[in-house]
Amino acid sequence: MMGAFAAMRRRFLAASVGLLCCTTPLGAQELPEYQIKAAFLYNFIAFTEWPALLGNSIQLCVYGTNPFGEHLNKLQGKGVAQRSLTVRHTGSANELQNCQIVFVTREVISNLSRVIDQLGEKPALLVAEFPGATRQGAMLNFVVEEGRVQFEVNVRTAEAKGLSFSSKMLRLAKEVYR
Amino acid sequence: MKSGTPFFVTVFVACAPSIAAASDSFNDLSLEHLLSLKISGASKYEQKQTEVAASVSVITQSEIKTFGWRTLGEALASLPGMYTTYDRQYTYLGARGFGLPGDYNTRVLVTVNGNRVNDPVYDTGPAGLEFPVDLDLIDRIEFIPGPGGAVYGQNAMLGVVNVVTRRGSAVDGVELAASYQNPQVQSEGRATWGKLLDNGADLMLSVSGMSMRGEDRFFDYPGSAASSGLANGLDGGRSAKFFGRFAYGPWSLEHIDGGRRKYDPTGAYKSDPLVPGQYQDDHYALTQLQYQNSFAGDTLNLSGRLFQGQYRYGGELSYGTLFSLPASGQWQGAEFRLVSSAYDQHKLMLGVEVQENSRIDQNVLDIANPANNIFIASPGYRVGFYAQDEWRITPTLTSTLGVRSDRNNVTGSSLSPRVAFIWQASVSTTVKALYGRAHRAPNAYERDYGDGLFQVKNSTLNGETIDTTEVVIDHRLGRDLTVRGSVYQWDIQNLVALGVDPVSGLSQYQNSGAAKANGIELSADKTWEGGARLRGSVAYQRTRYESGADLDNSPVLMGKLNFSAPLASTGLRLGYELQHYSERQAIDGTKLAVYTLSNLNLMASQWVKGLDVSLGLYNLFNANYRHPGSDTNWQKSFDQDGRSVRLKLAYRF
Repeated sequence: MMGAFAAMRRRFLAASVGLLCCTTPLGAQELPEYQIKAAFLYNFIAFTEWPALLGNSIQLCVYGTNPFGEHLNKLQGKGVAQRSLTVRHTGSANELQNCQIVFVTREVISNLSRVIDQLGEKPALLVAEFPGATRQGAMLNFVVEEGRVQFEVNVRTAEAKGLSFSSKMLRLAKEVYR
Repeated sequence: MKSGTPFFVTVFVACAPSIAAASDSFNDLSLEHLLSLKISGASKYEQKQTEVAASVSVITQSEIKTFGWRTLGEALASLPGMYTTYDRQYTYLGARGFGLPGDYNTRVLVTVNGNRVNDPVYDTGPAGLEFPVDLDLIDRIEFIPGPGGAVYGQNAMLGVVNVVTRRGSAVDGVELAASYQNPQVQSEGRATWGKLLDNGADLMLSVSGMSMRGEDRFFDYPGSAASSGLANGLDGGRSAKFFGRFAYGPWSLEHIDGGRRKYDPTGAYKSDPLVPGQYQDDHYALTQLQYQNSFAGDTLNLSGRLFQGQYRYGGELSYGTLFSLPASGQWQGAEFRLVSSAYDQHKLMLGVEVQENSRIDQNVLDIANPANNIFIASPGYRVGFYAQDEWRITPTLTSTLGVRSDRNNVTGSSLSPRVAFIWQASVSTTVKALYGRAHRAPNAYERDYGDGLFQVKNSTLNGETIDTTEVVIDHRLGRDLTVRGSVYQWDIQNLVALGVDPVSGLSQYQNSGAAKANGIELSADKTWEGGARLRGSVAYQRTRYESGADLDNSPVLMGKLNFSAPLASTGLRLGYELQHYSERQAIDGTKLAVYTLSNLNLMASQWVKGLDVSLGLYNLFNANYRHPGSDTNWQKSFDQDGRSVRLKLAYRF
């Protein structure tokens, strides 16, 4: 399993470079918030152990007004976790059934329970960016602290849907809820 | 691995120079590296509360639903040191010991999505059923206590309330809501549609209506012809509200239209008691076009807004015969703001706000004898320039220096400075030291209104000034408990307050010297993993005139508790609220008794998909309590509502 993760890691490094270095020299340590978050999302997929039954594509859905600009769309068609990634934007909670990863934007966080209803028992990764969302059903949650993007993990809600994360990701998380 | 090789090639071609230069740091582009990257510019969402130069509180939509709050005032009253006063006409906000009877919420600025609601006639920041936005449309309420004059100008003396509405994307479909409340026989309904379209346009439309019969209460009218009596069917009211918003990219256009009529059982403004049909109307129409965008890798934020507002007051009161007292204000203007974080360790803000009050009319119409009509027109303008620098002096010490220069047609020019230091004493402790000044020019009502019936004008009325110093300590105990302590002092000079004109014996707004307050607020917020939350606060404040006399309607001690929890296995969520207020002094010097208020709300969201059912019990233990009246009332105090029950259904699809 560690071998699998190592392979994934090489692949996400490649994608991270694609996301990050082309707009800013590698030495610079400051980047727009949503460029960083887009790179995180890619890594989250890479560090998640997906059920074998999943097909050969992974659909990343952004629910709510797109805060990423073009940063996330650059991942369109990229390879991750032995699958190819598609990015889709939607304003409707009813159109999330076929997503493997759903990013719930801040403005629609009040609809989190609706999203959870829609996804049902499917193994879909639910990511939010709202204080406390990890306790309301989000499996991963971005928090910004002192100008840096950090993340929290809820292992229990992820495992309930058959998803697990690499130990490295858990180690680097700001909070891990079990 | 299918797409792997081409991708690597692309990366190397596109990024060859940087990779070559930093090939050794290739491994840094790991999760560790991402975690260490700084966000350029400001985070898209509001700063963390510990980083703001004030003790900010935020009330979310989920709390509004959990506690069943019906008005902006009820939501704000859950915060430390906040209280409301209801005279069966309007709801007045009190903050930090200041809530003088006869003050129409002129010292708290109320904005919706950054657009000022306080009108230029009375300066009122509406907080009761007269607030023109349906509470169900609110995403969050931000309250910034203390003077906001250095950024916001007029009215931001004791605090700024910014209401942020939900987006069409959050509505995501249709919502229908209906509620019924007893014994006031109050029915409310709402229909809302909102959608985020595939092209990124965000749309929202909402209409709401309310009608109530009110309560039949016994009133005293000392000094009038009818000295007392049962006001039967005189406490009714109704309202209609519209909200529309269209946003696309950096642009948004919104319109708020809200009107409310309240009938009057009290003989307000010393009108004839128990005469049916006396009422007061308030109508707001507020339009705002906003632009907000970031440039240069988010280090430059540009925002601009054009606004247009209209406020209409209408009242029919009986003084022997029926008098109509229409007033209206119309204003338009623009604000531009530039925020730059391009300079290392500095965040600079520059802004300009211009408001033309093209019409401020106050009329007294003697319906039986038009020869007695009075027309008062006082149009004017306001211009403000402001600048602020947030300077990170060391990694743990930040200062905020700001100043706003205002000019208006009533009081000329004034400066409102602000100085703040924020010290991150440890990972879990933040200490803030704050100083700020704010000015308020008297409004057209305070200065120009005179009718010879109950009030005379005061052409020499001057503006007032408040200076506030405050120390705030925020401390986090573990990940689930935060505590906050705040010690403050405010000092108002040239206080504009309702007094009595010695010549006519009628009411008149006058500069009544200085007033001072010292206070302390302690609060705590605890959450549990199961979803329960408890927040509580104690506020203690002493307010005094320079003469040593106490301010009226200023409770010395307030305690608040708000507890919410899911009730396992029932699918219900419980919201329980407990508030304690010490004595309030009425304008005749009598003390209105201490009271404790309990509200309980139960909400079911999972019984039927898309349906929220909530049952609210307000004043659960039927406590008997009173709020003070003002010089324009016959009564020195008003009975408040006893136990009320509200059933509310909200369905979305």
